[in-house]
Amino acid sequence: MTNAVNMSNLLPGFPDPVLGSQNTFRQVLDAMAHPGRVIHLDTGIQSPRPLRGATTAVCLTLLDFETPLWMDLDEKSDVSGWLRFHCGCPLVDSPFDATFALISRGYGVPTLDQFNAGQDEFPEQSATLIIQVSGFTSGSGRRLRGPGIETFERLEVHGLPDNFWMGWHLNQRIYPLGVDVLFTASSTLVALPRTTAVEE
Amino acid sequence: MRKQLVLQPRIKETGLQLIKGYNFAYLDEGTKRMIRRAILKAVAVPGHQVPFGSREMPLPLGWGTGGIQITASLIGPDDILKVIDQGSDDTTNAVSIRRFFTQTTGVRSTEKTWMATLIQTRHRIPETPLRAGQIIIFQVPIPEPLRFLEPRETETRKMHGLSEYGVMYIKLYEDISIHGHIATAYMYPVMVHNRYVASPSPIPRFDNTKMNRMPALQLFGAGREKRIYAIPPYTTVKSLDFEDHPFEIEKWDHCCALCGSGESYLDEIVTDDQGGRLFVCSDTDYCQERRAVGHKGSLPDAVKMAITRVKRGD
Amino acid sequence: MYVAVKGGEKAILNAHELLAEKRRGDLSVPELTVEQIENQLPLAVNRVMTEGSLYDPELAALAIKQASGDLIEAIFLLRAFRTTLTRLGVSLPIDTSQMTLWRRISATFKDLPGGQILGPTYDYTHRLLDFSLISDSGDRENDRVREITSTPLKEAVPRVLDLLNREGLIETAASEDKRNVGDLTLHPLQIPTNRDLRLQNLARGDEGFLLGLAYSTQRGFGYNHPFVGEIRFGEVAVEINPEELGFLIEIGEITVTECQMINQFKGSATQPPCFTRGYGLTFGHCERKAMAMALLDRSLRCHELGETVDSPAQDEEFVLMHNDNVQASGFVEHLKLPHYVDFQAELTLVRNLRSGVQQEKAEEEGK
Repeated sequence: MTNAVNMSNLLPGFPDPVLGSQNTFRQVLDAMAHPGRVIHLDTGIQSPRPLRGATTAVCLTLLDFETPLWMDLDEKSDVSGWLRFHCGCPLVDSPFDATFALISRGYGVPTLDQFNAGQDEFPEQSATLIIQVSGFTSGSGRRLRGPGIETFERLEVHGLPDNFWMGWHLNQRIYPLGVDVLFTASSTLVALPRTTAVEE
Repeated sequence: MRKQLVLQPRIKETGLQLIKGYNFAYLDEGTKRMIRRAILKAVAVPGHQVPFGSREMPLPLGWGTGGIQITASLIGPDDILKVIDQGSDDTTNAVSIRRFFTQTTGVRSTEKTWMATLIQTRHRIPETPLRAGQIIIFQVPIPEPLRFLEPRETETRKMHGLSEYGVMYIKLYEDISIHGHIATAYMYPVMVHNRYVASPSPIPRFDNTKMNRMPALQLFGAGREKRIYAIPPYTTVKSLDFEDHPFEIEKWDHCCALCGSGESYLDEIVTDDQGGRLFVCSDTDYCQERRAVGHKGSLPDAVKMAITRVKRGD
Repeated sequence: MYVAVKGGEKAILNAHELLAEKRRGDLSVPELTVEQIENQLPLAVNRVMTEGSLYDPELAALAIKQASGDLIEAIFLLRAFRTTLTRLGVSLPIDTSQMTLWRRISATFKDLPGGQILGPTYDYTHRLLDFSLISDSGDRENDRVREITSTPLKEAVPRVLDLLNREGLIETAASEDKRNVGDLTLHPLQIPTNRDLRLQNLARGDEGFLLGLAYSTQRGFGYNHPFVGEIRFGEVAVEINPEELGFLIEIGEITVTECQMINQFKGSATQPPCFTRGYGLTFGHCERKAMAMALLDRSLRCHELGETVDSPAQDEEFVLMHNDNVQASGFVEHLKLPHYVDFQAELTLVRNLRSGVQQEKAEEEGK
């Protein structure tokens, strides 16, 4: 089998899989319920390159054999073997077929309209994008409004192409359809659900 | 000859035993992941009912299995759980559900609303305002607000897809033309984030106003109907109404006989067969906290203690 | 960890103790063993396995004992256990043409290859209470009978519908479809659905509910001209094909009842007239259930066959969403939980409505 996972250099998952994913999920939920808020994850896990701690933890928590994944990394990469072993998620060639997308280089994120935005009766079937970026600055930058935000939140996301926010604006316009985004950077996480309006 | 029951409670006040042979919080990890993904999508589309692969739980469907599955997917060792039914921590089903979590997680529980990180509820929202960071989990029997107007899922799904809610407004308007006002006392439909009409679960409409821009996250689980929906913090939740007939909540001519509160939802207690009635807070923790800081109702203290005992089932 | 034991808790514990006592009954009567239930109440065990979706006679018998003989409660117990089990693999479809038969009858042919095998059936018993069973002595009589009939027919017997199929008179079964078969215990049922999920739903469905609906089709509410092509009951092998081995392994045998109904079909613009199928399958010997299931499978194919849809038994959403007795009993019985908060809301509302009406009346009289 050519796709066999090389076990010799395979990194472990959560030290405690049950509580590790429980804890990470609560942080992801907290992020999703408070868009734009920078959440710190205490992951304590080793990550296959080029993934960082928060990305790794989110993958271990949300992905499995029921979540077709599209990623910007090679099938032969360490990440591919690691995902197959720990998550068992099928990898798909077309972004549109994915329920989750893993984008390890935020600069190279495909335009959002390439992903499944759901259907009128099933908006929950849209894709969730895990986008690894270089960092966040909160308290300044773009102004975020919407459910989960009391008045407004200010946030700058570092390591995204300029056209991302144009794409986000379009994503907003098709609500309740649209993709949802989890940004990760080292051990931090920010969620951007489709309800969040972003102004310059 | 009639046999006499002589029974001792098996469980001492030191705590319940953990059940062996099951995963933490009962559900297997794959099921938790599936439910967690559904919860995230529910939060991303406020008020939209997300179908999920609801499991058969060891408690009956229709008795809170949706809420239980959500709580089981959220709960961790640092949580403090509160479980209420009808506003009370000590009704039998609340006790039964709290026992389930104590025995499958060992997690601490509390009756104090302010202290809880997770609050699982049936039919009420606590009177004490919920704060940011808390999560309230509603047990939902019928998640579809349009169900009693249109029994077919295939039809109601289309109505939500098209945001076609005329049938609901017609029903409410018919109430007004017959009765002079809207005759829906509980499970009063709400509009969430100006897009989806949702059921607040069978809470009295008195509680509807608490849902609007609540700082806590609200999650709704319907196990038998296999749906999860959510209202993120600070989300606009509007009870459906008309400009000339604005939404109103119940009012009593009474105050709580125990704590004197004139602002809480009241239970009516039948005191005799001659029409005697007493009104007391439905939220037992709220009532207790008020009395602890010196608030008093109209009843003599001895009677109060007796009623408290009856309400707590002692 | 502090968990206060208060009134509600005490009441629940007492109820459980009392329940255990009632279940055991009179201590001077020997306790019923799980083995006895498994062996001597096999039809109850079979129903619990079928509707509980788990082939395990011993656990089904345990569930019946624990539920004091309440079969719906026993089904619930088995289902709640089943959801905790790890799925190790998926078996190949069982081949009922290779069944080791205990019973096989066809209503559509007088005789046929393999013959009619009556097997163990209540069909022709006269329903007269057998008072000899009150005492243990009835067993000796049975021992003698057992020597005559206790072996099933070993050689494979062709299925009646396969015989008809050779003539092209009946539609081919859809079993050639090798795509993934759905599982409604993992994913929520979405209406409209496909036949695989419909059959799974019906197999788990309540026997009484299915029976009543099937009966309604016979009385004209969605009539579909049924004939029992064949009912067979016996043992079939369960095989798996582990990917890493590359060959089939038989992991055991299960007893099943299969019913194939033959129904008239007048034909359509694209299809010549032929016979159609209705299919029923259960664990163990559940003949009534298998027949009801086959009638409903057929009536629910009305859309596919372009038939007029005007009866409850043809209404997919109605049938599939209401036949599960664990769901139904849960929701019907939840009405005994406290509802006093909502009732209070209704009470306040009704009082207000009444006082409004009375006020109007008084005003009118005052005029």
